[in-house]
Amino acid sequence: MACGYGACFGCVVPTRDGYLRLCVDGPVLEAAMVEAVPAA
Amino acid sequence: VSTTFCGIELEHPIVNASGTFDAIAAHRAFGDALLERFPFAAFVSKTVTEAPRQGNPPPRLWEAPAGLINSIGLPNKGLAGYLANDLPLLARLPVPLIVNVMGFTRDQVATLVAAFAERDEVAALELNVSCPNVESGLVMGADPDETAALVRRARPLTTKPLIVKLTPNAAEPAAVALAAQEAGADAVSLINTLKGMALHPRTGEPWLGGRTGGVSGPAIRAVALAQVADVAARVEIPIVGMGGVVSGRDADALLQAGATLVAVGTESFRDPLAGARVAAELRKLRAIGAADAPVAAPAGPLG
Repeated sequence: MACGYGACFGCVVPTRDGYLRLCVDGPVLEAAMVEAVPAA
Repeated sequence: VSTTFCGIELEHPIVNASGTFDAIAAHRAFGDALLERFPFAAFVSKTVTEAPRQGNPPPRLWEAPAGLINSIGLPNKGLAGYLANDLPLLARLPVPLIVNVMGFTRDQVATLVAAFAERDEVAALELNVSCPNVESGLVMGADPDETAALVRRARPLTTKPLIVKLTPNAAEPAAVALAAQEAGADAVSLINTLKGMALHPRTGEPWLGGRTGGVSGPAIRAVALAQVADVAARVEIPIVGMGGVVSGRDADALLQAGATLVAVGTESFRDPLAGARVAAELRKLRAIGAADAPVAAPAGPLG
């Protein structure tokens, strides 16, 4: 994560609603809406 | 250290690099104190494209030695979304607004420039030329003729200052800068990120979803200084210098190399108030005289 406040769009995860920023739209998302978890 | 840039009066010469500071998100996170003590003398907004963009697939970031590789992919709401949602909020900032635009064709760039030309909230436009022209297949900013053709197309559409954001991924950035000047650009800004890559430590596949990304941060500071000096030797229009600036001394170096303004980029991710700190350090440096200032630059974790 670069900025931590929603500016850099570096922490996005794919969801039913498009890419969400985990730092400001999360950090907890409803599991059913998350489309894929990037491999660690 | 007040400065005039293309006829715009600025309190100091420190601005943000496009895409590295989000005034709306920062206001949401830090409140009205941000507007009272805004860290930059002008605000350069994130690249706007004609159509909305989701951006590149994750992962989008990789920490490099003394820097960052990003493959964000210019997510934005598109021209209509920007005009409806972002512009009214950005118009309330206490500093002039510079809008950065990018198109995949000259027509798209023309549409964007014409749309912003009639908005009083916008002080100047910055053309992001670090993308391929889908009609010619050439990265617009990598080629002097492509850049000149683009600027010639945009120039008659607005009386606002036109800044061309040069890419360092060109054979000769100074030749591109000269072509931009001859085609009517009012200023150039440089450097954008350098193309870079990181591999997944286990699979050996590219780490970034976009395969390659742009390297920024202190790792590219020396490249920025050399390119700004080269461009300053070739053009007469003002230069916005950027690349790895984390301190007043770094900003001072770019000013001495020929820049009129200096942008802070990646450092704002580490410290959203970095712009204010760099401006204060520059003010102090200028007050005591660079020759008498301590030699060691204040180094952050990335410094």
